[in-house]
Amino acid sequence: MKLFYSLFLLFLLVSAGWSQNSRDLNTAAARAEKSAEVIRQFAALGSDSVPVEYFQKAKAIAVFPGLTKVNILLSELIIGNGIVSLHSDNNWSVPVFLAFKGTDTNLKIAGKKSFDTVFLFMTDESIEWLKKGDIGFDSGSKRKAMLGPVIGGEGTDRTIEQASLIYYTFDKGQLVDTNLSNDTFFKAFGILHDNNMNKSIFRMRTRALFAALEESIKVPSEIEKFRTALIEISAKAGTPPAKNETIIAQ
Amino acid sequence: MKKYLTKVINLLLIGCLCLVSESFVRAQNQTIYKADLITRNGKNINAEPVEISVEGETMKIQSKKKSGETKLIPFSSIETVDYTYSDRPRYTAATLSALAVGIVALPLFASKTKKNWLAVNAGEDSVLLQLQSSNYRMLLLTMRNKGVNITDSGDRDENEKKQKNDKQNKDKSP
Repeated sequence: MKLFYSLFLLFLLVSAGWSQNSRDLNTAAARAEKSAEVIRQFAALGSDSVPVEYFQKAKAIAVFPGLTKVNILLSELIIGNGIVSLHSDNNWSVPVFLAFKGTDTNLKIAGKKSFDTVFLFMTDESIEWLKKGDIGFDSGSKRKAMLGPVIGGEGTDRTIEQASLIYYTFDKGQLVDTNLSNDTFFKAFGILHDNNMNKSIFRMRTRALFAALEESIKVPSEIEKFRTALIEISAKAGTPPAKNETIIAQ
Repeated sequence: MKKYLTKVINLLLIGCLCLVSESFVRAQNQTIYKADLITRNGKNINAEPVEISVEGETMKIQSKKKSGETKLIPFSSIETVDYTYSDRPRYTAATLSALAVGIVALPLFASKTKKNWLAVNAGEDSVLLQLQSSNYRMLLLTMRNKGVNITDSGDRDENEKKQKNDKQNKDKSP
């Protein structure tokens, strides 16, 4: 009888673990799919556009689909989850899961809004911060995150010179100008490691996963959608848009 | 009396439906960019609310006033477009909020407001626009994709400082 109870308990534990893993895999797959959609919206700005030019130069691309901004009594909180892939020599790394947290002040009393964000890591230094899980942007830090340029010029050159990170925000597929930059005292955001998700999918904590990116890592096919989208955009980048290609900015 | 009232309500409902569907159709078809058209009248500078839209190969600037004009600028006639911005603390809004809600509004003194300017150089049709911050970059991108020669000249204040410094350096040098 004791053996029966032990076996039953073992069965319960194993099935609970399996169901948690499959739930995480579904969540991760949904996140990868949404991120792929967002990056395709980004690419629809034009394959020879300024944003796609910087996409090609970026050291890593992180996408946070559906960041939620909540306003309560002049304060603002932004939270969400995303995915990042490192870029080198036209190769895109295994996608790594991340989380986002931001704060600000605002004249609004109450409100809620959702938007998608694409972050372009422009410097080697920013990649080191990313690997260490030390991506904090606040008013006191010398690090700068700025809205990504859409046209060329002196202002654009200055932005790229100053910013470690540039970003583009989208609302229902349209490019919008939601400002996350750490340009005022109460404005801050951080990009964090999503250890729970990375452990569940890759059996590794995020730091270890970044360290092992050069080795061959088994990636579930459901998550590969994000990397596939990046590869497609890279291949098209720099070429003038085809006649049947949809450009958002019409 | 009841019949008359019902008719009036029905007519109002139909009117509302027409208004909503018209604006819905407009919103579906094209993106509207809200802006202010800056004009100079002697010493006074006026800001007139306008709506900018892109219709084929033309930029349409429509006044929001009933008596206002509509300006159509073909992209081919635009020589250059210069984008600049200014990023300054919002002291007025913060002071008003502090007076209204008290100490809770103090953080607003540390916040900034960004103003975006677009100088469209198209001969006689040249205009200066102050764009709203919510979707101005989409307009810049649209103009670039239409082949307009558009430049980002960056922060106005920084540019002014730079010009002053350059001038001072020039004056100092023998």
